[in-house]
Amino acid sequence: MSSSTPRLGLPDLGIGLGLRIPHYAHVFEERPAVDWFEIISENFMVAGGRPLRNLERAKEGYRLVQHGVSMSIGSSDPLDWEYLRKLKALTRITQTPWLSDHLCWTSAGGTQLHDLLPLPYTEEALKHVVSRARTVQDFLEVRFCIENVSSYMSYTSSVMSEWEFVTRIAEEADVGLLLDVNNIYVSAFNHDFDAKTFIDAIPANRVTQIHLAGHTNMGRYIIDTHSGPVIDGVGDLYEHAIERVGSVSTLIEWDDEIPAFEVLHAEGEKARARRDAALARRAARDSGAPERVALPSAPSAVAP
Amino acid sequence: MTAAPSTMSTPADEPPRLPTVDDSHAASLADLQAKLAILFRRPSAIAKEPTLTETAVAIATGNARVTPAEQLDIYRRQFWLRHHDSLLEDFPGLAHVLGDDPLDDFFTAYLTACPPRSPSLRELPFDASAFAQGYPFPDGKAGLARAMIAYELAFIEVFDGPDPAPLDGARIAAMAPSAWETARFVVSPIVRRLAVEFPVHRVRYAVRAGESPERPVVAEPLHLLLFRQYDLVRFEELERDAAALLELLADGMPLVPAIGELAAGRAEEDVAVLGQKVGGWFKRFAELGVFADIIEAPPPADRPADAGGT
Repeated sequence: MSSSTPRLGLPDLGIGLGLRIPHYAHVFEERPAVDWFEIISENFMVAGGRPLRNLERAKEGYRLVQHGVSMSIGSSDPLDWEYLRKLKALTRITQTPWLSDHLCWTSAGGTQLHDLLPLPYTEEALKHVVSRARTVQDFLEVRFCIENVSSYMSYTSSVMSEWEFVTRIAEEADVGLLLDVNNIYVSAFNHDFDAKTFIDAIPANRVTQIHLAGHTNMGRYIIDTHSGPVIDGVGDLYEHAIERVGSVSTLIEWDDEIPAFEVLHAEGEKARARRDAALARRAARDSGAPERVALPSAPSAVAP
Repeated sequence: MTAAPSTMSTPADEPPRLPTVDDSHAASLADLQAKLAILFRRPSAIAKEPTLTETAVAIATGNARVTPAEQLDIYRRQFWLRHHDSLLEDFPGLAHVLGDDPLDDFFTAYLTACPPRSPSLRELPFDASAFAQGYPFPDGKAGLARAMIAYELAFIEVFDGPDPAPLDGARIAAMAPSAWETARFVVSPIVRRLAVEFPVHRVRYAVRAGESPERPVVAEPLHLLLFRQYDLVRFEELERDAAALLELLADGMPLVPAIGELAAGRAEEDVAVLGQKVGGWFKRFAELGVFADIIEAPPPADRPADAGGT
């Protein structure tokens, strides 16, 4: 699919939610209306038992998209082919329309750190990731998408901005972008850059999915904890992103202090409203029509 | 990262072949990541050690609010928090046995000696039992702690084990009565047999139920069967003879010789009691799904010649 095609030709699935264990009973028994669910691939890369049974139940009635945390695409360690084989086997079960993981490294010298560690923005790292991302995408035979991570450190060796690094990898490896708007917000705070500059710089047609999540502000820095609701600042940034890239599958992540399903679902609906508003503005802009301004509804009674 | 050795020979008068581009470009990236992997696994703060602070300044920029060493310490703290949390999920019984501080000490020592090697956190505890053999647990708790670790590891194996193929009931029903004498029993991959010195299963069960059970201090040797049923891991205590019979069968001995071995040297009345119990044990084993298959021995004429035979 040409890179000039929106979302690289992948579908807009609407508003999805991260499928997490505390919600299994509700989802499997009540079957709430959800456009799609994202699953963490590693949670289902097991030989058997309950995880695979739950996966089968999730497949009944819901579109599933795989998202991973352990590929370590930026590691200087060799690619883990056993991991990739298991990952590919899982794609056959889920029929995921694309597969994403983070633009980061998680291991070195065979030691797994199980963290989404940022890369230095260097030509060396760029070439390394481009080569591996191409290999991974070819092997998996499904569109591979890289996600920008939250970072708490910046390297003295970096020679370009994060958005230039991300853009060049996506273009040169011909992979998709999972744009994590919360991560942009977090990193922008931590490294003192303008979040909109990041969004305005990335290749819009390569954005195949967006992530939204909550975070924890520690005062001097922000940690991407995936706890709590999406704050307004991230929501506003999301609208800016939608206005730029158009209708893209959007996912709410909530991994810490996970609330009742209804609360998560309501977060999804808030995102939907923001997305609809942003798409309306985008359509108005593209058609040259003046933007419609929503007026507050009239009060039902007039106070004396 | 180094280049894979070439399979082609290089003439002596040619310079050694340079590594391929794909591998060589990662050389300094590898150095950087190796350094950080060590720094992030330090138990104590980087910002408090002057020499490491200098290293941090060379690697990270910091900013007006956070120093380079503090930036690295964010990741260092996350390494320990994430892995302690993961191990705590795996070892709720051990957490109860040891208490907070000794548990933290054990986890820190374990992660230092056995750094995570698998992308999957599910495999993080797999070396814990071997490591625990030489670990100096607090006085009076070593036996119970080691037994609990072995039990909780078996629990994970059973939970995540591959689904066994369903037993072919029709084939088994068609087996001639005489075939049972030589048939071998294949134990299910989601069954574990354990000999434990303490009733660790009761402790873990109570902890998971939200209770705070007594920590057993006197050894109580037990034979346990851990198995998965309806995707739940369950346990059952076994009589010593039932456990011994199951072990013989799991080792590949057919039923009749196994019973014979178990009965060997016993008084006649003991053998009679044993004979009465075997049927009940088998019925229970079947109910619990202990056997994944029953394989008939081939008739003698069909047996292949021994290796090296004529």
